[in-house]
Amino acid sequence: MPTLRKPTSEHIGSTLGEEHSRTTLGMPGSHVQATPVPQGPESLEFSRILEGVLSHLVTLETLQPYFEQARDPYSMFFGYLENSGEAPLDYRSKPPARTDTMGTRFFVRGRGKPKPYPLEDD
Amino acid sequence: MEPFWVECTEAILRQGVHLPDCLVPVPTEDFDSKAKAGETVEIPCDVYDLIVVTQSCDLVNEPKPQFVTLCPIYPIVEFESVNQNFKKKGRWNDVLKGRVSGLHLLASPTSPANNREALVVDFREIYSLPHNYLVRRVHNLGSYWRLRSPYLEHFSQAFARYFMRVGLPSDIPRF
Repeated sequence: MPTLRKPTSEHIGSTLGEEHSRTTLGMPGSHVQATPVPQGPESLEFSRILEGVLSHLVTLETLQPYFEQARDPYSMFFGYLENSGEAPLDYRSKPPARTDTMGTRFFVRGRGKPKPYPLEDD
Repeated sequence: MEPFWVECTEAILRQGVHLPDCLVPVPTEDFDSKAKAGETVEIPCDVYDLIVVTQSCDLVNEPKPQFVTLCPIYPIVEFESVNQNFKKKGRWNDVLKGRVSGLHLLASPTSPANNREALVVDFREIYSLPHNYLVRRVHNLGSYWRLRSPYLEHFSQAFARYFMRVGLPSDIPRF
């Protein structure tokens, strides 16, 4: 699970590399096709926008799962213990062993009354 | 006086939602034997005003629970009609201070400063009703009351304290 401990700059660095003037598409080892990028004064603006987009994507990828967990404080707490084998497990309720069908007739009896509350000193 | 409740319109079920006039099926003690005999089982339904106890995160996140936990909530005058001893002076002050186990007071949504219009939640009665029935109920209400923070958390904590209490076989004599 991605956590906040993962340094964001590392992702951006490995994605952008040192050179911002050329963007490549494709898997490592496969044929790499260069994508044309603006040259001249526009290239700086292009790099700035591209860096912003990638940074945003990395933030989403890294933080979104973290905050999904954060909605449940209990899971978030135990989420930190993922290496200790105490990570939360997804589970579903066990279905009933047997289901009986019966004929029923529901009827409205009336307004429910408060339950008596006996007090010790009465 | 700061209001305890906020009026809501969105059909979202959350903890602290006040649901008037809910149907609660109350099976009779012999419903299983009648079912075995092949008879039609009559299930009475009582009408209660209820407040949602299930935590909001369990109601909002997937998978949604099949059943939602609720407790009955009464105007204190209605509670006194069955429990005359609560008409005695100072009795509700004990409830207010948390000295009466299982009962929790909430201000009236419409007249918070009038303590005679306050509401009492009875944690001793816990009902489970289908999630979708309650969502439909909220939707049909259009407008409903929901507890505000920190009264919501205070209510939730009061329920937790009631549920986690431990009875002792003996205790140190009173001082």
